[in-house]
Amino acid sequence: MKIKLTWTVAVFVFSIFTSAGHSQESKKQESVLLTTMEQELNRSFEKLKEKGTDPLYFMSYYAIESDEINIAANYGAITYRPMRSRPQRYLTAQVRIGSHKLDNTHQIRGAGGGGGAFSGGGSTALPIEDDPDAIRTSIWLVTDRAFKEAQEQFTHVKTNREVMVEEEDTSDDFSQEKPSVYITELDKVTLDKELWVDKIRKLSTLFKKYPYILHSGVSLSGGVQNRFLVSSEGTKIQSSSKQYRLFVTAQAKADDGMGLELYDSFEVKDEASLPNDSQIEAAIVKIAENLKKLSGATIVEPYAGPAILVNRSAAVFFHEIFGHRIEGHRQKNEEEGQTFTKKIGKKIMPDFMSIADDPTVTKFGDSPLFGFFQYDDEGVPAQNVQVVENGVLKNFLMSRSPVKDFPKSNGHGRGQFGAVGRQGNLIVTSTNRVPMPELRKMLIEEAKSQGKNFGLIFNDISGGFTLTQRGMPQSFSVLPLIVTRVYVDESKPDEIVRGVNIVGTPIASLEQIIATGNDEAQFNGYCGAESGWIPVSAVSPSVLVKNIEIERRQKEQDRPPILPPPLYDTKNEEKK
Amino acid sequence: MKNRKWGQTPFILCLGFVIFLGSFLYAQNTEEKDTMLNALQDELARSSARLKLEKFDLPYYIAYRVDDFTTYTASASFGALTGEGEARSRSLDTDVRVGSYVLDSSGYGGGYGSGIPLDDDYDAFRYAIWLATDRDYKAALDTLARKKAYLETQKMEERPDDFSKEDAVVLLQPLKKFTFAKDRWKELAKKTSAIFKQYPDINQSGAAFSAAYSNRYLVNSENFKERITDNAFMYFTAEAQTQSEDGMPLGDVFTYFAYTEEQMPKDDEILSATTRLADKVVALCKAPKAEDYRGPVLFEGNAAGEFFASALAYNLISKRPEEAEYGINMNAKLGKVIMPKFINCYDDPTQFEFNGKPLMGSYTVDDDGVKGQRVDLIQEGKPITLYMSRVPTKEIKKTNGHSQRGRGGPANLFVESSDKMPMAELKKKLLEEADAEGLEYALLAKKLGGYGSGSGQINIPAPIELYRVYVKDGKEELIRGGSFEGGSLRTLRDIIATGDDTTVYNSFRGRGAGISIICPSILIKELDLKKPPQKFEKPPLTKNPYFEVKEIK
Repeated sequence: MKIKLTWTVAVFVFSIFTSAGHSQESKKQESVLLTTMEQELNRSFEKLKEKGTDPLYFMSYYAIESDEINIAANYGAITYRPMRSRPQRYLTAQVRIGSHKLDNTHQIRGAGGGGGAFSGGGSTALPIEDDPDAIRTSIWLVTDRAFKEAQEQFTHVKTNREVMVEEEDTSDDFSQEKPSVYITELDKVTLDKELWVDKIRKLSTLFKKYPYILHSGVSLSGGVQNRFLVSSEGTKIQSSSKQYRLFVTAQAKADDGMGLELYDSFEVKDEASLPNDSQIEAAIVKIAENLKKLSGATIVEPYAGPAILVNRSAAVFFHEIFGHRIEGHRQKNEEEGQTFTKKIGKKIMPDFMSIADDPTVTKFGDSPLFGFFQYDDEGVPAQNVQVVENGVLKNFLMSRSPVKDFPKSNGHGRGQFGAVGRQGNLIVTSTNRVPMPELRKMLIEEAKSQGKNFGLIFNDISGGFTLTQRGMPQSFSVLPLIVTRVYVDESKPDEIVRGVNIVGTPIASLEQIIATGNDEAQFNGYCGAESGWIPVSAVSPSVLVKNIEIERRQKEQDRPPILPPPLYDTKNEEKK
Repeated sequence: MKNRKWGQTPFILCLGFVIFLGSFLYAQNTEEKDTMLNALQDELARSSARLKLEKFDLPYYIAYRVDDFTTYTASASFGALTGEGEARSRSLDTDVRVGSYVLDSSGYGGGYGSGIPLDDDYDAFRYAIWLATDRDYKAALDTLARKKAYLETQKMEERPDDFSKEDAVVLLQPLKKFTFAKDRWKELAKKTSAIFKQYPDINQSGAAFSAAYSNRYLVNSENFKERITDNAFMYFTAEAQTQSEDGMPLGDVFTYFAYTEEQMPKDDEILSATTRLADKVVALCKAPKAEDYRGPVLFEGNAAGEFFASALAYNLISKRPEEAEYGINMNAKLGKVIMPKFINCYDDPTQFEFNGKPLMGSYTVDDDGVKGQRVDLIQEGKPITLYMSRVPTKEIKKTNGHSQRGRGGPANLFVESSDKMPMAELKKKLLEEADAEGLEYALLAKKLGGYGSGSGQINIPAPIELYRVYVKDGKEELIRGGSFEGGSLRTLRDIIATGDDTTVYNSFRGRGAGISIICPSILIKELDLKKPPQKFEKPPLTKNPYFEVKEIK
């Protein structure tokens, strides 16, 4: 019973992917694409070393082969169906001129700006067949372009350094890392298309039961990304990831014109784990019923007071307000707000809170985590990084772009074309966990002590956005889908409100966590930033925050439709 | 009719999209069983009768158009596929107007497209049409109010109406199956692109095949009812680009368009055209650079077609007074001489081929649903009418079946001459003109569309294939670079002679509309060519790995 005991005590159960070491003896599995990239890299690196005015010290090729299947239906009819299509291949060449200390990717300050992780890179589509001659011809051209641009950029960097004041952060431009070799099997996206076309169509019919729903949809997408990386340092990576997402969405309009939208989604790693019909039906019915409630709900008034962010909404909240601000490169770029740059070793949240970003875990409980990977997109092994320990900021999410006191990557360099420090699986843990009914009581107590009539519960939140740049307000905005007022007067029932926008400043929100629930849950999604879209996850318990500020969302002005839905029009003049 | 909305520039090396397939042919061939047509008409009837906010009027005009496209594209480079894809989409365009024919809600933006399902499902169609109509009606009310307010602030003499009244067109073409040998074209694209593996001087190259097929439905509150299914077309294209030793970018492309597979050239013809293309680009690399020039220029064959497409076709669109302030105002030139007396022009979208060659500007009905018509545009050098849609202009009030997305536009423009001379004589005349100017050589353009663009009131595309023809011995010498400068409406009057040849030039431009120019070679008395710039980016620093490896062997 030892196991059972352990389980009761454990906060979460993660299954750790037993990733193989740095070098795998599996030459056989190397794809034609990888081998071809390696050959052309070796040739160009040798030849181009002699060509420029400044030294070429690093080159890499990073290619993504992606394949997708999409099916969508609306109101009982298919709106998108898979047809003959082939995987796409896209390659980015990175060229570094100068030295690790100073190279062409160095930020250029002042008018015009420029530089950064994406200079000295060029991208191209590649042939989709394994034809080395054709592939090398494409790579050759993009390499030539990237090399010329990098040479020009490096000249600019040197001049810029001479005319501007000393930088605050004088760390290197590129970290020294050990090369990695890691080869896995490539994957394909599989789906029983006919089965799912029928299923999706049939499920989308369910929305026809609700006359107040104005747009709705059920969709399924499956995608595989095969990634290939070779560098002049000897790194050679071939990896693969696959995700499926089933998505249900619906919109309605309140009588005053406010648009309302809800969605639900299921994320899995393989076809067999896709939800069954009754799970999807339940999600549809829930959305439809909640939309009904929402369209009759009171419009929110601006409010500042205590609130509970329920697990998945808390996870989005942490991803947006915290995760993006601890990405390493943002600590160096002088155009960034650098909220946490000088907070290392300082307390930024209560003692009972800790946060890690751990790309090496594949699952949370039974659910897959999308932010899993073994090697990052610069070929550095993924690492579990403890960012906050007992409330104290300890680390940043680092790519190979060093910042002051952090000279090395910690395996978080990610992107579609070039890489910067990005999140993988952001995992929020707490030692002050209480059951949910108790957290609710604490919310009411807190509202009372602040003299408020009610507190708020944020049940679900759609993807938010956050602004990290200087000169922009250092705030975040997340769009809550369902928000409930919980009255201090316990004889009053909870009340759904609509039109809520969260506003506020990030640091303040973090410091004000009072307690957390014991209901950890994961949010899987795709995160877009300067280096492209990448799959990510965040895991969090519900959190009770002392003060959260909300405003009323700007509302659309147009009224609900004038005529009833055709299916519900009793007065049909048209011929049937 | 061609599908006006679909197109994109025909050369696309790495991408693509195209068309096709028979799989979306429904069983219903009759009107009664056409789910789409029924849904469109039923929602049209309901909205026309009852879509009204209190205090406001019903729409006076509602039109729905559905375009159902299937596309197929295969592209290849250096012998390997770079893309292959097939896609199908259906889009719904709604036009809901409030006000009246005299003054309505049109012309201030709006006109949204919406998605509509691929399955033939009556309920889902009605639902999509209902929501789009509702959205557009509300937007139209808002637009009309803003438009009226604006017009009150303007002093305007005689404002043309906003929309012309037209007789209903009812035309239901049968649904038909469109098929082609996908694998043949895919393999040919690969094979064609592999030809460039014999050309170390060419840096970038590719070939692509694309086909598109569409069914279009159009219904409106004036009882127009159309199902147009003669919309298939395809093309095959190959392209080569490189840089000369001094860095000048050079390249050429060919494209064969057709409505059917039978009209497409044979494989051998495409392969030999590709070899010619590659040889020409290599020859260009080695050719001398163009110098500044002022004097006579002979536009032969394709180059004459390209000249008229750029200099004439799009200047024959009738404009409303508020548009006439920009660009060339041909409305003011009606009845006045703009070309030599021996030139007559007409446009005929109803002619689908000429001397066995497909004309890509053809259509049965235009974008307003009005039947395509032959229109005489220029007689003895004077414009007598212009391209019209249902949007009236001051001088011309009615459509002539040339609507492209609601505005007049060219289709198949025939340029005819009553003063033709054999080509040998035309070249002789070119040299005489040059000699009279004391020039050592004259210029002969065989193809336009190169890098760089000229300047002037009318833009003549830069030459791709340009020759010096020496006065002393008539010898032709290929040159590279250069751009035509200072083209103006006046340039059209400088056409002093035409050949007895006729070229069909097909192209897809602006808004994806196909266009054909059917014209003779022309001699222009005086035109400026500007020499190419002095500085270019360096050619690649290393060799293409494929040719390097071959050398080592």
